[in-house]
Amino acid sequence: MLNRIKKELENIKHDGWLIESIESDKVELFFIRKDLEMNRGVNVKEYSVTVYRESEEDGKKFIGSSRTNIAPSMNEEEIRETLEVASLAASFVKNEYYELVDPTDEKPLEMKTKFGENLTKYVNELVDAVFKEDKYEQGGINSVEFFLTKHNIRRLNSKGLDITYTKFNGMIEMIAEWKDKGEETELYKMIRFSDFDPKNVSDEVSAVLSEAMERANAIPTPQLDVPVILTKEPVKQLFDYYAVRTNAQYMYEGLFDTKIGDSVQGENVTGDNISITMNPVLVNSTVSSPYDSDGFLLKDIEIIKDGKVTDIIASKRYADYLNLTPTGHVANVVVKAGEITEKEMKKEPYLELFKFSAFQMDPLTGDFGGEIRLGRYFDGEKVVPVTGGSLTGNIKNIQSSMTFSKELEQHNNFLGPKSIKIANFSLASAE
Amino acid sequence: MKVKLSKYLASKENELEALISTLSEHYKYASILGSDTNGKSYDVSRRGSSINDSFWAERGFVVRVFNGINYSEYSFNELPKNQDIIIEAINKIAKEDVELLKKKDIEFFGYPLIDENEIEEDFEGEVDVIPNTISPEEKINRLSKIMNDALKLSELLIDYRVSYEEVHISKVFYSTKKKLSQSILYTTASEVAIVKRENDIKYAYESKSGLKGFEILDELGMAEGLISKAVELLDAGKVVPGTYDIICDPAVAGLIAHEAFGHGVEMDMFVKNRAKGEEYVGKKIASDKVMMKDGALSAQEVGTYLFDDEGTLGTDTTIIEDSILLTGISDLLSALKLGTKPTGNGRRESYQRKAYARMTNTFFGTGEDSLDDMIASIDDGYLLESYNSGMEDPKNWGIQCAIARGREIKNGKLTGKVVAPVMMTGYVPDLLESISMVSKDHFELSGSGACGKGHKEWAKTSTGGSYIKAVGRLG
Repeated sequence: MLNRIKKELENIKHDGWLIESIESDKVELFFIRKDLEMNRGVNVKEYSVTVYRESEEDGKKFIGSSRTNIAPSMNEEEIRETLEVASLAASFVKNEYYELVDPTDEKPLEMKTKFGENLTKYVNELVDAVFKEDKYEQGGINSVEFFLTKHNIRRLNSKGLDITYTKFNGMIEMIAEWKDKGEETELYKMIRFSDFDPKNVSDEVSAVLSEAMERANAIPTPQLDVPVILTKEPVKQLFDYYAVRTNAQYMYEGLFDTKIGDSVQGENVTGDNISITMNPVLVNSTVSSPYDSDGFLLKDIEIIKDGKVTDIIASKRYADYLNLTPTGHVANVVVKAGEITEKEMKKEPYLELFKFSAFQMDPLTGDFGGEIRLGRYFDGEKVVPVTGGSLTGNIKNIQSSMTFSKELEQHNNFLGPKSIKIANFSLASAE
Repeated sequence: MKVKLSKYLASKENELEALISTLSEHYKYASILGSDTNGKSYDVSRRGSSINDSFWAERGFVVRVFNGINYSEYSFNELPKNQDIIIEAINKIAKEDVELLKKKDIEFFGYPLIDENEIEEDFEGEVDVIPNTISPEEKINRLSKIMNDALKLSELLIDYRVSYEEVHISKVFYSTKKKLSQSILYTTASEVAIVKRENDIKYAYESKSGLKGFEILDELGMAEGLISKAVELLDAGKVVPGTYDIICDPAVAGLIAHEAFGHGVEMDMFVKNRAKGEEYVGKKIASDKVMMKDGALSAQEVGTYLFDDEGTLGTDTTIIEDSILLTGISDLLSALKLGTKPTGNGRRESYQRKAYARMTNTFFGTGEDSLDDMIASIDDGYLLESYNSGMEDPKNWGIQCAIARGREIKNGKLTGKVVAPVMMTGYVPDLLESISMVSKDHFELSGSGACGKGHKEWAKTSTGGSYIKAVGRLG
């Protein structure tokens, strides 16, 4: 198919091209409680072609591009017509000029995984890892879905780039339920992974079942005036703000004017300073990749050290625009731990929040918030699970005083402090 | 102009029917859904533009067979002349893998055999201007003009983004008794005003959607109002957390209908005992002002179709009428399990995904009140406008609605004070019971976004209604 596409590209107007080929094998199992409701298999080959067209206006050089899908079932005529439409479209897109990615002999970073060829075998072992934790009378797994995909990826461009790599993408979506004295309650959990680690999956399942039990016994979140400790997934969302602020695309678009040396948390930091490294091949992350979507070879990039910007994430296009050294687009965020333990963080009264309906972080405005599904209130003597109400705030109001835990935790493409302590937010009670 | 079915799918009729015929020799039920969706997305912003294939573009097939206990599926996107390759792949999943799972002592969740009536129907949508007849140049120029005109209107604007998407869906469905085809075209378009003052960035957006062609761009040109709304946010205050009388605009009313309630009556949730809504069927669930509908045939919007992704014809379902919850919305397998009639709501993100019970066009009906009377009736509250996101909680019926802005109402009048963003939380039955006024006009449906189930399985849906007055907890 790739040869057919390349042959048809010779018959259309272009000033460059990029072809992406992804062959995917997928196994899916769907359970209601412990009973298999459906099994599915997916086997597809997908091709996308980006066609580039250059132009000149008032002595200035421009480049346009248009990306289109090529189905493996297309005949030569359909492929040519589809590419011609893309070529025509690209000729009307006038973006500032940039160069496509050059091939390199440099060795890519290794993507580590214990997954292999037989997807059915691995999924069946993950089924065991999940259901061995489903052992309680008052609660358990309401439903769970397993997805495991193997992708063989190849990218080629008109400058001679030709890269291939394999990646695995796993997902388990489960609903945990619990019935105690009151109404039956449930909690949602999404586990994403790219490494075969049944123990980690079992631990995650065990934790969410325990949390479902807590929610069943939770009281409505009272009106409180204590610090909030954000734990688990919400912590990941907060740090997305900094990855966006140090991304050249957003700088080029005029949204942020971040410069090397800028203090991202302001000048009067009373809490922990942020240090962030972007790691392209973080183990067990589903977005790990040795190359970005342009085919650029990726490496670790330290973007923030001790609260100051040290580098800018720049794909080839935006690096050319801003005269930066390209880093490629790296999607894994690794944040340095803090100095104090969770135990020390929890000495004084606090409200720990770790399950929201959907914790949202708007990286443009800095606004964050969500409806509280589960938290824990410590009044100085005892810990009580709470549910309901909402937390809202803006990261610009909390970033100078945030304190990070010494313990680290990974949530797919984020590895960083398990907990952070914040102040200056708005808490709506559920009473 | 009629929207014609994809030539590719039309040309594969004999092959697909032959495949079903062969599969029917091995399985008591076999069906195939073929999808050929084409589309382009056009985006312009101050520093760049793009024309790419739509997120929804795809071409492929999914086969479903009865494996003796329940159903197995296989998704693929090559149709080789030698169909044995496909049959072997299906046999591996529906026979070998199923046997392997049985050997692991896994219990199976049984479904009855699908019993279909003979049916053969075709549908071709109709739009004023087929997008393919307009050049990419004209489309990008139209968007660029809207952007350039807007950028002159305020020095606070750092960008004004305009987008347009055209999607032509062609689908065919074959089983031993069914032969269906549909060709539907929808477009969406949006404008986003982004303003900045010192380090504060705020934005406001508006969108248009429908079973329309290129003519949808005639509905754009919302810059003045949008910029004004974005600038208001720069000076917005914070709501004092508490419970207030609220008026929800059609967008927020739609969000409540969809996220807070609609997901809770998706009947695959009934099968899993995950839906609080099941307890309320036939009972009072809302105030007598509330009427709510969903269905592929309930409205002409992005959730409209002849048949769903399991080959069930779309319907017009009244969910709530005269305060009573009449029914949920159902996919085929859930209806089989529950002994109910499927409502044509079995939808897939793509041919590569499983079908679930999903919403289509979901909305509150209109009432008898005027918006002015609704505002005048409030001593201390907010008019809630537009939203950023929402999230369902079908089991426990919690509400999460992230509202873009609230306009303060004091003593029956808008004060001009704006709060943003606003998080509305609470308990669905309490909110529905509290609806005391519904406007007789201003009915709007919007289908510019996509709906997820949990945190995945995206599908195009439209939502809306008219203005509703209720009581809500804001934070």
